[in-house]
Amino acid sequence: MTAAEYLYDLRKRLKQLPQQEIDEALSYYEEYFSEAGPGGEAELINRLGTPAQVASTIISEYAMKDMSGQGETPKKSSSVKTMWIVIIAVLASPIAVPLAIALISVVFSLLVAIFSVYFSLLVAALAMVIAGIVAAGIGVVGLFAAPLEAIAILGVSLISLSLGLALGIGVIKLGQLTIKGITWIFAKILGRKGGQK
Amino acid sequence: MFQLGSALLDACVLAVIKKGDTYGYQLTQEIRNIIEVSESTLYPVLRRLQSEEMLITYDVAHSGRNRRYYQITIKGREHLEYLQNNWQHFKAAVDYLLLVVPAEEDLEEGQSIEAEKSAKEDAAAKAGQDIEGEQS
Repeated sequence: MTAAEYLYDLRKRLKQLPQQEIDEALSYYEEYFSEAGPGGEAELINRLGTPAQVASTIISEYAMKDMSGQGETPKKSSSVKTMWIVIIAVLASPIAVPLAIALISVVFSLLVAIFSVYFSLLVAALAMVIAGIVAAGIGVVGLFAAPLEAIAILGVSLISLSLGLALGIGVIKLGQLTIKGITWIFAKILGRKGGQK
Repeated sequence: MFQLGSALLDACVLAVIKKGDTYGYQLTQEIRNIIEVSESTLYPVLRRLQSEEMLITYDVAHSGRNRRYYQITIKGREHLEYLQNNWQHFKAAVDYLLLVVPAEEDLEEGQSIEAEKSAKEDAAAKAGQDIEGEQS
Protein backbone atom coordinates (compact mmCIF):
# COMPACT_ATOMS: atom_id res chain seq x y z
CA MET A 1 0.00 0.00 0.00
CA THR A 2 1.35 3.44 -0.90
CA ALA A 3 0.76 6.61 1.09
CA ALA A 4 -1.75 7.82 -1.51
CA GLU A 5 -3.74 4.58 -1.30
CA TYR A 6 -3.61 4.72 2.47
CA LEU A 7 -4.93 8.28 2.57
CA TYR A 8 -7.61 7.49 0.01
CA ASP A 9 -8.81 4.57 2.12
CA LEU A 10 -8.74 6.74 5.24
CA ARG A 11 -10.85 9.42 3.55
CA LYS A 12 -13.43 6.84 2.53
CA ARG A 13 -13.70 5.58 6.08
CA LEU A 14 -14.22 9.08 7.50
CA LYS A 15 -17.11 9.78 5.12
CA GLN A 16 -19.74 10.20 7.82
CA LEU A 17 -17.89 13.03 9.54
CA PRO A 18 -18.48 16.67 8.55
CA GLN A 19 -16.39 17.72 5.56
CA GLN A 20 -14.27 20.04 7.68
CA GLU A 21 -13.25 17.23 10.04
CA ILE A 22 -12.34 15.00 7.10
CA ASP A 23 -10.21 17.71 5.49
CA GLU A 24 -8.44 18.46 8.78
CA ALA A 25 -7.63 14.81 9.41
CA LEU A 26 -6.48 14.20 5.86
CA SER A 27 -4.26 17.25 5.74
CA TYR A 28 -2.72 16.19 9.07
CA TYR A 29 -1.92 12.72 7.80
CA GLU A 30 -0.78 13.98 4.40
CA GLU A 31 1.68 16.23 6.22
CA TYR A 32 2.58 13.32 8.45
CA PHE A 33 3.45 11.11 5.50
CA SER A 34 5.54 13.77 3.84
CA GLU A 35 7.46 14.30 7.10
CA ALA A 36 8.23 10.60 7.21
CA GLY A 37 9.56 10.87 3.65
CA PRO A 38 9.11 8.40 0.81
CA GLY A 39 11.62 6.01 2.39
CA GLY A 40 9.76 5.83 5.68
CA GLU A 41 6.38 5.25 4.07
CA ALA A 42 6.08 1.50 4.52
CA GLU A 43 7.42 1.62 8.05
CA LEU A 44 5.07 4.47 8.97
CA ILE A 45 2.05 2.58 7.63
CA ASN A 46 3.19 -0.33 9.74
CA ARG A 47 3.36 1.85 12.86
CA LEU A 48 0.08 3.66 12.17
CA GLY A 49 -1.97 0.49 11.78
CA THR A 50 -4.70 0.05 9.18
CA PRO A 51 -6.69 3.03 7.85
CA ALA A 52 -9.69 1.49 9.63
CA GLN A 53 -7.90 1.73 12.99
CA VAL A 54 -6.82 5.31 12.39
CA ALA A 55 -10.34 6.21 11.26
CA SER A 56 -11.91 4.66 14.34
CA THR A 57 -9.70 6.69 16.69
CA ILE A 58 -10.76 9.86 14.89
CA ILE A 59 -14.45 8.95 14.76
CA SER A 60 -14.73 7.86 18.37
CA GLU A 61 -12.96 10.99 19.60
CA TYR A 62 -15.26 13.11 17.44
CA ALA A 63 -18.37 11.34 18.69
CA MET A 64 -17.30 11.83 22.33
CA LYS A 65 -16.59 15.50 21.76
CA ASP A 66 -19.97 15.89 20.13
CA MET A 67 -21.77 14.18 23.01
CA SER A 68 -20.05 16.17 25.73
CA GLY A 69 -21.29 19.30 23.96
CA GLN A 70 -17.84 20.73 23.38
CA GLY A 71 -18.17 20.75 19.61
CA GLU A 72 -17.59 24.10 17.99
CA THR A 73 -21.11 24.31 16.53
CA PRO A 74 -23.89 23.86 19.10
CA LYS A 75 -26.52 23.00 16.50
CA LYS A 76 -29.80 21.74 17.87
CA SER A 77 -29.67 18.71 15.59
CA SER A 78 -26.29 17.65 16.94
CA SER A 79 -27.86 14.88 19.03
CA VAL A 80 -29.26 13.32 15.86
CA LYS A 81 -25.84 13.64 14.28
CA THR A 82 -24.19 12.08 17.33
CA MET A 83 -26.63 9.21 17.28
CA TRP A 84 -25.86 8.62 13.64
CA ILE A 85 -22.10 8.72 14.20
CA VAL A 86 -22.39 6.34 17.12
CA ILE A 87 -24.41 3.97 14.94
CA ILE A 88 -21.76 4.18 12.22
CA ALA A 89 -18.99 3.63 14.75
CA VAL A 90 -20.80 0.59 16.12
CA LEU A 91 -21.34 -0.75 12.61
CA ALA A 92 -17.67 -0.27 11.85
CA SER A 93 -16.69 -2.84 14.46
CA PRO A 94 -17.00 -6.50 13.49
CA ILE A 95 -19.00 -7.57 16.58
CA ALA A 96 -21.85 -5.38 15.47
CA VAL A 97 -22.70 -7.18 12.25
CA PRO A 98 -25.46 -9.31 13.83
CA LEU A 99 -26.72 -6.20 15.55
CA ALA A 100 -26.86 -4.39 12.23
CA ILE A 101 -28.77 -7.25 10.66
CA ALA A 102 -31.26 -7.15 13.55
CA LEU A 103 -31.66 -3.39 13.22
CA ILE A 104 -32.22 -3.59 9.48
CA SER A 105 -34.75 -6.42 9.96
CA VAL A 106 -36.69 -4.41 12.53
CA VAL A 107 -36.86 -1.37 10.25
CA PHE A 108 -37.78 -3.56 7.29
CA SER A 109 -40.55 -5.39 9.17
CA LEU A 110 -41.99 -2.06 10.34
CA LEU A 111 -42.11 -0.88 6.75
CA VAL A 112 -43.76 -4.14 5.65
CA ALA A 113 -46.34 -3.84 8.45
CA ILE A 114 -47.22 -0.27 7.50
CA PHE A 115 -47.57 -1.14 3.84
CA SER A 116 -49.66 -4.25 4.46
CA VAL A 117 -52.14 -2.26 6.56
CA TYR A 118 -52.27 0.31 3.79
CA PHE A 119 -52.72 -2.35 1.13
CA SER A 120 -55.53 -4.12 3.00
CA LEU A 121 -57.41 -0.82 3.41
CA LEU A 122 -57.02 -0.19 -0.30
CA VAL A 123 -58.33 -3.66 -1.15
CA ALA A 124 -61.32 -3.11 1.16
CA ALA A 125 -62.13 0.16 -0.60
CA LEU A 126 -61.81 -1.49 -4.01
CA ALA A 127 -64.10 -4.36 -2.90
CA MET A 128 -66.76 -1.89 -1.73
CA VAL A 129 -66.64 -0.03 -5.04
CA ILE A 130 -66.90 -3.27 -7.06
CA ALA A 131 -69.72 -4.57 -4.84
CA GLY A 132 -71.51 -1.25 -5.29
CA ILE A 133 -71.26 -1.41 -9.08
CA VAL A 134 -72.37 -5.07 -9.24
CA ALA A 135 -75.29 -4.45 -6.88
CA ALA A 136 -76.32 -1.39 -8.89
CA GLY A 137 -76.35 -3.56 -12.02
CA ILE A 138 -78.54 -6.14 -10.29
CA GLY A 139 -80.83 -3.40 -9.04
CA VAL A 140 -81.31 -1.93 -12.53
CA VAL A 141 -81.95 -5.35 -14.07
CA GLY A 142 -84.44 -6.26 -11.30
CA LEU A 143 -86.23 -2.92 -11.45
CA PHE A 144 -89.07 -4.38 -13.55
CA ALA A 145 -89.38 -7.77 -11.86
CA ALA A 146 -89.43 -6.55 -8.23
CA PRO A 147 -89.31 -2.74 -8.07
CA LEU A 148 -89.26 -2.32 -4.25
CA GLU A 149 -86.46 -4.78 -3.60
CA ALA A 150 -84.57 -3.44 -6.60
CA ILE A 151 -84.75 0.12 -5.29
CA ALA A 152 -83.54 -1.05 -1.89
CA ILE A 153 -80.62 -2.87 -3.56
CA LEU A 154 -79.85 0.23 -5.65
CA GLY A 155 -79.77 2.37 -2.51
CA VAL A 156 -77.45 -0.01 -0.71
CA SER A 157 -75.23 -0.23 -3.79
CA LEU A 158 -74.92 3.55 -3.96
CA ILE A 159 -74.02 3.71 -0.25
CA SER A 160 -71.39 1.03 -0.76
CA LEU A 161 -70.04 2.79 -3.85
CA SER A 162 -69.73 6.16 -2.16
CA LEU A 163 -68.21 4.74 1.05
CA GLY A 164 -65.75 2.72 -1.04
CA LEU A 165 -64.70 5.78 -3.03
CA ALA A 166 -64.32 7.88 0.11
CA LEU A 167 -62.25 5.18 1.81
CA GLY A 168 -60.14 4.74 -1.32
CA ILE A 169 -59.36 8.45 -1.60
CA GLY A 170 -58.63 8.62 2.13
CA VAL A 171 -56.26 5.64 1.96
CA ILE A 172 -54.40 7.09 -1.03
CA LYS A 173 -53.96 10.42 0.77
CA LEU A 174 -52.80 8.60 3.90
CA GLY A 175 -50.38 6.56 1.81
CA GLN A 176 -48.87 9.66 0.26
CA LEU A 177 -48.45 11.21 3.72
CA THR A 178 -46.84 8.02 5.04
CA ILE A 179 -44.36 7.86 2.17
CA LYS A 180 -43.56 11.53 2.61
CA GLY A 181 -43.02 10.98 6.33
CA ILE A 182 -40.76 7.99 5.80
CA THR A 183 -38.67 9.71 3.15
CA TRP A 184 -38.44 12.75 5.42
CA ILE A 185 -37.13 10.63 8.30
CA PHE A 186 -34.59 8.90 6.06
CA ALA A 187 -33.53 12.17 4.50
CA LYS A 188 -33.01 13.62 7.98
CA ILE A 189 -30.85 10.67 9.02
CA LEU A 190 -28.98 10.20 5.74
CA GLY A 191 -28.59 13.95 5.25
CA ARG A 192 -26.16 13.90 8.19
CA LYS A 193 -24.06 11.24 6.54
CA GLY A 194 -22.32 13.39 3.99
CA GLY A 195 -22.07 16.39 6.27
CA GLN A 196 -22.62 19.79 4.67
CA LYS A 197 -22.97 19.28 0.95
CA MET B 1 2.49 -1.81 29.92
CA PHE B 2 0.87 1.22 31.53
CA GLN B 3 -1.28 3.23 29.16
CA LEU B 4 -1.83 6.95 29.13
CA GLY B 5 -5.48 7.82 29.59
CA SER B 6 -7.04 10.76 27.87
CA ALA B 7 -6.31 13.28 30.66
CA LEU B 8 -2.65 12.27 30.83
CA LEU B 9 -2.29 12.40 27.06
CA ASP B 10 -3.70 15.91 27.13
CA ALA B 11 -1.20 16.82 29.82
CA CYS B 12 1.79 15.37 27.93
CA VAL B 13 0.80 17.05 24.66
CA LEU B 14 0.23 20.41 26.34
CA ALA B 15 3.50 20.14 28.25
CA VAL B 16 5.55 19.43 25.12
CA ILE B 17 3.86 22.20 23.13
CA LYS B 18 4.29 24.66 26.00
CA LYS B 19 8.04 24.19 25.60
CA GLY B 20 7.80 25.45 22.03
CA ASP B 21 5.50 25.39 19.02
CA THR B 22 5.69 22.15 17.12
CA TYR B 23 4.00 20.19 14.32
CA GLY B 24 2.25 16.84 14.43
CA TYR B 25 5.07 14.60 13.27
CA GLN B 26 7.71 16.15 15.49
CA LEU B 27 5.41 16.15 18.50
CA THR B 28 4.57 12.48 18.01
CA GLN B 29 8.22 11.48 17.66
CA GLU B 30 9.19 13.56 20.69
CA ILE B 31 6.60 11.88 22.86
CA ARG B 32 7.33 8.46 21.40
CA ASN B 33 10.99 8.86 22.24
CA ILE B 34 10.08 9.02 25.89
CA ILE B 35 6.95 7.00 26.27
CA GLU B 36 5.17 4.33 24.26
CA VAL B 37 2.13 5.76 22.45
CA SER B 38 0.68 4.56 19.21
CA GLU B 39 1.45 6.70 16.21
CA SER B 40 -2.21 7.49 15.53
CA THR B 41 -3.13 8.42 19.12
CA LEU B 42 -2.16 12.05 19.00
CA TYR B 43 -4.19 13.43 16.10
CA PRO B 44 -7.56 13.11 17.90
CA VAL B 45 -5.99 14.62 21.02
CA LEU B 46 -4.62 17.58 19.08
CA ARG B 47 -7.91 18.07 17.29
CA ARG B 48 -9.85 18.02 20.55
CA LEU B 49 -7.47 20.39 22.35
CA GLN B 50 -7.72 22.66 19.34
CA SER B 51 -11.51 22.72 19.40
CA GLU B 52 -11.40 23.34 23.15
CA GLU B 53 -9.26 26.39 22.40
CA MET B 54 -6.28 25.12 24.34
CA LEU B 55 -4.22 25.04 21.17
CA ILE B 56 -4.21 27.19 18.08
CA THR B 57 -2.57 26.35 14.77
CA TYR B 58 -0.72 28.25 12.12
CA ASP B 59 0.77 27.07 8.85
CA VAL B 60 4.39 27.48 7.84
CA ALA B 61 5.66 26.71 4.35
CA HIS B 62 8.52 24.25 4.51
CA SER B 63 10.32 22.98 1.40
CA GLY B 64 7.34 23.41 -0.86
CA ARG B 65 4.68 22.06 1.48
CA ASN B 66 2.89 22.95 4.61
CA ARG B 67 3.67 22.37 8.21
CA ARG B 68 0.85 23.00 10.66
CA TYR B 69 2.31 24.24 13.93
CA TYR B 70 0.48 23.99 17.21
CA GLN B 71 0.76 26.70 19.82
CA ILE B 72 -0.52 26.64 23.39
CA THR B 73 -3.08 29.26 24.46
CA ILE B 74 -3.57 30.85 27.87
CA LYS B 75 -6.49 28.52 28.44
CA GLY B 76 -4.19 25.64 27.54
CA ARG B 77 -1.56 26.76 30.04
CA GLU B 78 -4.17 26.99 32.78
CA HIS B 79 -5.47 23.55 31.94
CA LEU B 80 -1.93 22.17 31.95
CA GLU B 81 -1.36 23.59 35.43
CA TYR B 82 -4.59 22.03 36.60
CA LEU B 83 -3.56 18.67 35.14
CA GLN B 84 -0.07 18.95 36.65
CA ASN B 85 -1.53 19.52 40.12
CA ASN B 86 -3.89 16.60 39.74
CA TRP B 87 -1.08 14.43 38.49
CA GLN B 88 1.00 15.15 41.59
CA HIS B 89 -1.83 14.00 43.83
CA PHE B 90 -2.47 10.98 41.68
CA LYS B 91 1.21 10.10 41.56
CA ALA B 92 1.45 10.42 45.33
CA ALA B 93 -1.57 8.18 45.73
CA VAL B 94 -0.20 5.48 43.41
CA ASP B 95 3.25 5.71 44.98
CA TYR B 96 1.65 5.28 48.36
CA LEU B 97 -0.35 2.22 47.32
CA LEU B 98 2.41 0.57 45.32
CA LEU B 99 5.55 1.50 47.22
CA VAL B 100 4.82 2.82 50.70
CA VAL B 101 2.18 0.33 51.84
CA PRO B 102 4.25 -2.77 51.00
CA ALA B 103 7.37 -1.15 52.48
CA GLU B 104 5.56 -0.44 55.76
CA GLU B 105 5.37 -4.16 56.35
CA ASP B 106 9.13 -4.21 56.64
CA LEU B 107 9.31 -1.25 59.00
CA GLU B 108 9.31 -1.76 62.71
CA GLU B 109 6.54 -0.20 64.76
CA GLY B 110 6.78 3.52 65.51
CA GLN B 111 9.06 4.18 62.59
CA SER B 112 6.41 5.49 60.24
CA ILE B 113 7.23 9.04 59.35
CA GLU B 114 5.08 12.15 59.35
CA ALA B 115 5.55 12.58 55.60
CA GLU B 116 3.98 9.24 54.99
CA LYS B 117 0.97 10.19 57.04
CA SER B 118 0.43 13.30 54.99
CA ALA B 119 0.88 11.30 51.81
CA LYS B 120 -1.78 8.96 53.11
CA GLU B 121 -4.20 11.82 53.73
CA ASP B 122 -3.50 13.22 50.29
CA ALA B 123 -4.07 9.86 48.78
CA ALA B 124 -7.34 9.28 50.59
CA ALA B 125 -8.63 12.68 49.55
CA LYS B 126 -7.65 12.53 45.92
CA ALA B 127 -7.31 8.93 44.87
CA GLY B 128 -10.93 8.27 44.05
CA GLN B 129 -11.53 11.08 41.58
CA ASP B 130 -8.10 10.88 39.97
CA ILE B 131 -8.30 7.17 39.34
CA GLU B 132 -11.69 7.71 37.78
CA GLY B 133 -10.24 10.41 35.56
CA GLU B 134 -7.34 8.27 34.43
CA GLN B 135 -9.42 5.32 33.44
CA SER B 136 -11.70 7.19 31.11
